[in-house]
Amino acid sequence: MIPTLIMISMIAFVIIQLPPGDYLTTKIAQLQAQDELINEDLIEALREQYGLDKPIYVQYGKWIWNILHGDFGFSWEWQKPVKDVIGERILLTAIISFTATFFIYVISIPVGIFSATHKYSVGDYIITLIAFIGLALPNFLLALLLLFAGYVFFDTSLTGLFSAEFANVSWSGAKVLDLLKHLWLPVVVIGTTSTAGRIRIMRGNLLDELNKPYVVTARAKGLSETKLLLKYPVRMALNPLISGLSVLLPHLVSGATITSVVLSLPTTGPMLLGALRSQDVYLGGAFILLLSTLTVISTLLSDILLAWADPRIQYE
Amino acid sequence: MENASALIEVKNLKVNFFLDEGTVEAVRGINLNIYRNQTLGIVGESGCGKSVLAQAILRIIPYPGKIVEGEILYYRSDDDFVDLVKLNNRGKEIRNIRGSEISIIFQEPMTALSPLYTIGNQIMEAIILHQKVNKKEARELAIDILSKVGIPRPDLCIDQYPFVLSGGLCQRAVIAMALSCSPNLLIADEPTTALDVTIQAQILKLFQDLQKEFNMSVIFITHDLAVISEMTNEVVVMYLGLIVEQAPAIEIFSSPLHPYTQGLLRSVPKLGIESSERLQSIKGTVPDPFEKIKGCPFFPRCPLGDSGICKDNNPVLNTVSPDHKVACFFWDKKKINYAK
Amino acid sequence: MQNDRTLLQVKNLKKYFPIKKGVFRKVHGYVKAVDDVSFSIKKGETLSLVGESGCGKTTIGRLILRAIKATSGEIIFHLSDKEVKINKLHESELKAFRKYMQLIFQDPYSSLNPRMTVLEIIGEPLLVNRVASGKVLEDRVVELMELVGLNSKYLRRYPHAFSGGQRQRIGVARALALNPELVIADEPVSALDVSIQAQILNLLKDIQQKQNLTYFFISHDLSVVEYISDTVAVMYVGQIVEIAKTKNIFNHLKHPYTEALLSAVPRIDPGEKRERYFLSGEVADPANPPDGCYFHPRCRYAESICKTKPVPLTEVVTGHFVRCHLAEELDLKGI
Repeated sequence: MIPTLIMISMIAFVIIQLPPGDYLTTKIAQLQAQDELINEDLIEALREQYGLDKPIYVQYGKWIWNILHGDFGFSWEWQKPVKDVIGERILLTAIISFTATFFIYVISIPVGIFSATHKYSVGDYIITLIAFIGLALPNFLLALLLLFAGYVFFDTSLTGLFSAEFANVSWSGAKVLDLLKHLWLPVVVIGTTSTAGRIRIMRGNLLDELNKPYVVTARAKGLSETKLLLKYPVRMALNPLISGLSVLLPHLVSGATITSVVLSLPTTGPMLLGALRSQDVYLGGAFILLLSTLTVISTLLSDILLAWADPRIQYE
Repeated sequence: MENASALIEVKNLKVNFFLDEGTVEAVRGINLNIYRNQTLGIVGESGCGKSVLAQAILRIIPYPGKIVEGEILYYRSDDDFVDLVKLNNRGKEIRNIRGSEISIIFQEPMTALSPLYTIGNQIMEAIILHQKVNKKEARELAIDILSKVGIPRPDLCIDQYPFVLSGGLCQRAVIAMALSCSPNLLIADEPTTALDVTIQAQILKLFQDLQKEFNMSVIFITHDLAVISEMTNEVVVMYLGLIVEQAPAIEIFSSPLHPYTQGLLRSVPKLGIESSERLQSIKGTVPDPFEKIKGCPFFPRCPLGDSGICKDNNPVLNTVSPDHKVACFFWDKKKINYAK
Repeated sequence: MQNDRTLLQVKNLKKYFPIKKGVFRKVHGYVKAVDDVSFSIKKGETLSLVGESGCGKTTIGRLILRAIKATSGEIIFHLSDKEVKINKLHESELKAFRKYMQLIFQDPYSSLNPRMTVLEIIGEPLLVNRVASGKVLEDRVVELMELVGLNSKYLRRYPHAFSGGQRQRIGVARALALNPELVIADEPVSALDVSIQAQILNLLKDIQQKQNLTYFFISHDLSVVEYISDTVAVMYVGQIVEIAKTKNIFNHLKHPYTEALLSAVPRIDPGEKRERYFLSGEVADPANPPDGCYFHPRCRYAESICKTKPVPLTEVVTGHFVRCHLAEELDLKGI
């Protein structure tokens, strides 16, 4: 896991550095074009601090060294330390992603079970139809549709994560409540595709399991259908969903970018996009590194969960 | 037969499978009695309906199969009986019978147990479900039954997962689970087909010992004539959803009357035959399951068949001697001496 | 009919599968799937390998086909004009050589591509090896279908329209398409119904006589093996424990394991209760076989020598090889 993270940090750094030039040269060129005064001292100090005049591996070394000491560097664009810029955004992204994950599983598992156990019933057909629409509908379109519906039918703006009065105040109980009020929309928008996909996966897996001999054996034992269903085939059908957890999180984080732009959410997505465009090295690097770490940890968690859920894995 | 009272009476049972491609008549009118302490063998090739008959008794016929006609009377005592067909197949009454009064063992021991739970968990589940015991007592009962089916170190085995055990041990565990509540009837559906010969011999021996110990009736279903001949005292031969012949094992193997039974017996390679001899196979194949059969089901493959009568008339199962029944118009006309 | 030319010779064949464990996949030992196996098959004859699951019989089949490579040993194929060492063949030569050996599979359902017609399935080996195409190919396929007893009017049907027995006939026809020297049949009838089994066994025998084919037959069913084979090799935990002419294996057997196998086979002998001999315990673990004779923990005749001293395969009577210390002394019961 540690080697994976080191690899990721290197790749992240290199990718960000790939385009020619760096933020400072771009900035200086811009300022010069506008005939503005340049704070030579500040620029020199920064150049020195981050070793911009040194070879790339030295820059990388300095970057990592600083991160290990809690300093994520300086965002050129925001003229603030990266830590201050991204702190809350990472938190909000994490909240949205985890809530979305929760939403996806809480909806998809029971609906998938219903769909499988009522194969070819009216309910199953309706679920299947909705699931396919959910799969086919792009996130941003769904977001726009919901925003439109909000304006037309309820006369409210559904964008953002906070009401105006809470947007710039510090955290409090009321602010959390306000967040929860706004959270459902991005969660629904981000989670719909994955929920639809997982309903289909759950349905398919469960249908495969339902007629397995061990289920028939359990039925012949005299178990009631509900107990039987939950203890035997459902447990088995859950495995692919558990292992799917590790790919879900990065998918949500990156998939949320466009949604965040549309819904103007203060998450990492839009800011990462901006940072990459303007070659704001340390901001972009910090984002990529943190999100990758999140992914690696979630992979680890899903592996542990899977080993717990399926004893066969422990024996391998 | 010292105790000839029936445990199960199957009357005119018909089971259909309603598929998109058409209706498959899997069981097409079966009458059969299973007596107390009797071992009844049911033999037939794939698609003859032998497994569906077993599933019908437990009411676990898979979708889209349905019992369309008939009765299955289950006698707890001579005058206390219940028609299993009338029970709700998800209801409490049939669930109380399953696993406790009637239990079943399937072909593949490895897939009959869920890999996610230990052997003990799955056996104790049946015990707790049907007996008034707590978890600790259930565990002791489970260990006890595991040792009865000849599992070495049952106290350790109980905490093992099925996939770490060999096929033979797994099948013993499955048998233990089926016997854990001392059933009146044990249905064994091809219980040794997936096992190696030496393990098969062990398991068959176990069955014989357990039947004596548990005082139960056994329905032994298999396609293997040799296994049937070693295991049972009464044999039923099925073909395309019907019983074509029924007789004591000794009689059916020494003087089979139905041409299908005769054909089956001749087509099995037997140890000790010269390889220069030719196996006599039954011509043709089992017809398409969707085909509607009007006359004798075996007519298209039968060496005796007479298009005059066999083609359009289905022979009923006739009692031709006190305990020998056969469904054939020509059973006595062209008798083939099979005894060797 | 039988000429005395040896077609296939297997010498000291070994296949060890490494057991890897831990993060660095370090080799922790070997599963000796095939452990020093030697035999030969004469042209036009049938040699059968019998044994319980996991004894290595299927692995030997795969080694001969070069689906996997042997750890050591030789597999020599004698063609009329040359000798080919299968284990030494280069990948590039292998493809051309494979036409001499064909395989019949166990499961007639999964071994036929459901999206190909019978013509395409049987014709595929001819097409791939550029033997025939177009009308010539179709004629050959028709000829093959008639040989295996299929009505050639079904040439353009898909496998699902056929029953299990008919599918297995298609499989046999495909195996025969290139006129192979050797046909490897891995449990070809064990998935079939009894009445169909007989049809396929008869078919295999008839074709063998017509075309002087050589069969390498893998089966767990002793009665099938007795019916089809000229020579039988009994395997236990990766080794051949007894190999001899079929008649001798079944009537003058010399190895206690063969005796146990035969005793375990259920028989149709109504009324007649024979004395059975039950093997206790389970097959030894090929990754960790017992010392001495691998069979000794389950053998009812085992003596102290069996527990310590490994047994070589020795010729007890001409053409009858046995891997047992006590082979000369024991008087074992055949069928």
